[in-house]
Amino acid sequence: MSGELYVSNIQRMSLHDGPGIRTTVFLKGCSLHCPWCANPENMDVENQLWFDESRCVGSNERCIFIKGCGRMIARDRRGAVCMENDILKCPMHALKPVARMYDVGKLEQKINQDRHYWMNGGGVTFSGGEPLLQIVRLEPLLESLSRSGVDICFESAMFVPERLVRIALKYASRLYIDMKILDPEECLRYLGGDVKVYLRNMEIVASSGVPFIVRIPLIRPYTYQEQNICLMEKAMDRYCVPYVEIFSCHNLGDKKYAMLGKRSTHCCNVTEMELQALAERFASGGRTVRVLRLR
Amino acid sequence: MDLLLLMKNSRLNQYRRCLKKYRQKDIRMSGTSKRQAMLHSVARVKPVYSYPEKLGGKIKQIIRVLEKAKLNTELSYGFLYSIDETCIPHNKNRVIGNIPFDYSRVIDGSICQYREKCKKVRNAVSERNLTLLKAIEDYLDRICTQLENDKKLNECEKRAAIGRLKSMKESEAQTLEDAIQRILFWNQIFWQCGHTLNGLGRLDKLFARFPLTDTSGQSLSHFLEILHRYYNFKSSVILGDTGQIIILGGTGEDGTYFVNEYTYVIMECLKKLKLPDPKILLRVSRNMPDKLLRLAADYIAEGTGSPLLSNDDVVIPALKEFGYLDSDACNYGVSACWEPLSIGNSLEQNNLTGVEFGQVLVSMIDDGRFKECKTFEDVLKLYLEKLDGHIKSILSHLDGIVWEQAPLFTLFWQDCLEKGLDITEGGAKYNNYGILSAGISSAVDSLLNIRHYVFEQKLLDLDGLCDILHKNYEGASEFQQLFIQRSDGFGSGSDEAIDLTVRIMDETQKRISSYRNRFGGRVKFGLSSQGYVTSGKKTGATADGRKNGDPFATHISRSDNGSPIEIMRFAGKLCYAGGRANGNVVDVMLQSSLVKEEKDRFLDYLKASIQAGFFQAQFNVLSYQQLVDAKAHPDRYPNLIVRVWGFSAYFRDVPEEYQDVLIRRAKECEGI
Repeated sequence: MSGELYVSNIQRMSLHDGPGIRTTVFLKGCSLHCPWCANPENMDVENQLWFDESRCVGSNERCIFIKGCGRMIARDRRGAVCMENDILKCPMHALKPVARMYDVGKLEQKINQDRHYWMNGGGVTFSGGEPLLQIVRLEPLLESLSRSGVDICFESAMFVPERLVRIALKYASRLYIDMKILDPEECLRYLGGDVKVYLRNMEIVASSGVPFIVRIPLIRPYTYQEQNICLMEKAMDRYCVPYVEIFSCHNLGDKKYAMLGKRSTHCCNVTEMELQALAERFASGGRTVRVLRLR
Repeated sequence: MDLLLLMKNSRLNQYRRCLKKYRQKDIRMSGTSKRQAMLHSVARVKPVYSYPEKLGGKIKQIIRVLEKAKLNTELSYGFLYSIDETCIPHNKNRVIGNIPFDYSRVIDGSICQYREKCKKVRNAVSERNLTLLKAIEDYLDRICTQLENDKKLNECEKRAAIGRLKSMKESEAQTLEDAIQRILFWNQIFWQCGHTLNGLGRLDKLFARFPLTDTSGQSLSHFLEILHRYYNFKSSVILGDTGQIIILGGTGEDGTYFVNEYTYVIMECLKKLKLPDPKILLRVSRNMPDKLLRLAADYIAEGTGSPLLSNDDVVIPALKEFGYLDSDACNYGVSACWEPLSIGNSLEQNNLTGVEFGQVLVSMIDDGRFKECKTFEDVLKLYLEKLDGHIKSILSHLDGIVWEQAPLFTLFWQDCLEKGLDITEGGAKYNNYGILSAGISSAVDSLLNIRHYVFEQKLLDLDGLCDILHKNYEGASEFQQLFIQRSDGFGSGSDEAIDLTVRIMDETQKRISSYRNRFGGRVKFGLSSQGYVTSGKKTGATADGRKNGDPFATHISRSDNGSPIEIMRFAGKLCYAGGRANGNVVDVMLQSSLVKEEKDRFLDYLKASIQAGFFQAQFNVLSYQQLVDAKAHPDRYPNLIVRVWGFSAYFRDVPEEYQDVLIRRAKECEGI
């Protein structure tokens, strides 16, 4: 498996994950399990099957294309671990593995197709899941991109061992760091993460000199509550965070949860007015704040 | 028979309806004997080439038009522009049009100089030119006399206008306003004499020698507004299809990019005017200034569909390979929409008919041998055999076209004078034809589906496929969905789709490469066409999930919500050299969030796409909800402009089937 990566998506012409036009590579596997996650397919490290009911053309529980693939079977198999050669060859791509295995060379070839578009600061962003979990296998690609002068960014939650962060810092021109729940108990309960690890990594990033932007998903009642906001402000002060991006999640991953056979957690949206008010509050600390509008 | 038609309004409307029907049918190349018999009955008559008698009739007709056309001497912003829509010549044969007149001849020269030039040559064309110049001078005098006698006009304005008009006789233009009046004058003559889709050429280059003053912007703005007059009369098949295209910018022979203040000012003026017509084609290159491309990006963001971008880095080499001299290839303009040609010296009738790639596919499926194919290569062989037959019938159709003489073009085409031949008889330096095409994406996707689902995955056999298509997917919606859902077809980054498209283009090129028309000219084709709706209407179901009568994809475009990078990469991988250079437009739908909120990134996107090597590109920036609402309540959106095939038009004027295509594509683009 060495040098092979599970990639769930390659988004071409991404506009929100760094400067210029970017190619964003979504890597599978995460160290957290945020209840509001918009990319639940990237939580598990193992590859899974997902079933898109809207694509399935089977009738009377039978598939007209694949013998033995009834809709019931397909439904049952969603979310199951996808083994090697264990893919039902659904021509409609209704049942398919979440991620595709790439060796580093092939991934480089694939993303290099967009090279023309990486002008004026554009480049490649690695996201996920938690992209740093696969960074050791990713390193030859980072090395190669870096040699060719390609701008590299990471979007990370920073709940990973310190050594992985240090590898990322070797190559990154910029980091997007999520800031979620900073109360140790709640962080562990809701996200499964150790805040100490997060704060230590923030310390490393802040002292590295690599520019970073803090991204805050605002979800009531998890991240959007007064106590957590105060903790965030303190942390941002401590690490001298210059740039902050905030956004409301809008249950973006609902369809994906259904495809994985998982139940999504309904989160209450933060209103536009609340977003603006918080933006002003964060900005009053001398930070540049941007409100992202995700569609 | 005297051929002049002086019509009352009711008859004129009837005539225009017939004319539109005629043209509509004419672009739907079909080779049906009935239509050809109707439209080109004279095609079977051997043309007579003896000069005096032959040209006499046409000249007389033009003289009478110029004598009889009523003049409206009301000055618009000090300029005169008058077309009598009720007095146009009747033509028996196909009329030369769809080419820009080279206005440098009248801006940088005078009628007198031209007369002297003609006198130096003694042949039938020079004789005829002298007669025509006399008629034009008389027409000019009539205008000036009528202006003199018009007491309602502002005296100062009147004097200036008469001065500008009279100066045309003796001297070259001295000011920008002189040049504008000359363009308007000659432009009105071309429209008046029955030529249509009259392009305006490289205006920034034409105006280059006139210093830009404080009032130049205003003069140009007025000029563009005036050209927008007679919008209905000038429109061809659909309102907006006037062919009034302005070419700006462009790479020269030495590789440097030509741009001047006029390039910016003209684009700024049109951006402010928010009119669908005239429209701009901006020649782009990796050498062009960022500032100009940024202005183009801002203009695209306005959502009027203008400018269309034409990539000199790809187009010029392709034109050279086709046979244009370096200087002419670098000075290229286009026909009414996008078909490249050399300005001022070519016959280049570039929109004569179309290769129906989709229809060829249906004829392959209808062939009894289709079901017997054992491999995908057998299927492809049969497709190419059918394509061969189709192209042969197109080429024989081209041979049957009889042209109406065109003394006005002949007058200013230097080679016509030297050869003593009318432009319609091979007098021009270049005498090539051009054809368009429709349905390439359906053909490619259908063939890929046959390869995958019939021969590789064996989900159905050819017999079953024929049955499904003949029943128009009735009772087989699963297969329709199966065929539609593929994301690695035409317009994607898939090498398989690119290779097949390149192969079909190559095979088409091979089949037309040996063709020579009766003037020795060649023919080129391209992957753009206004026929994506009309051709689709008469084509049965195809194996890409398209039902009988549904439109084909617009030019080079994707039907799903793919990345705008992917379609550009696809277009950059195709080969356009030689006979494939007759316009290849990538038609991109963009979300307004990209072009309006991310301007720097949009600029990067355009720059990178130029480097990726698209041939030409146009953009629609539309909102699905707005289009749906505009269709239901046209009165609420009187000024909503959209890009249709190669022109912009008011959405309310666009036929329903074209509205529906735009609505569907906007929906897909927004991922709704």
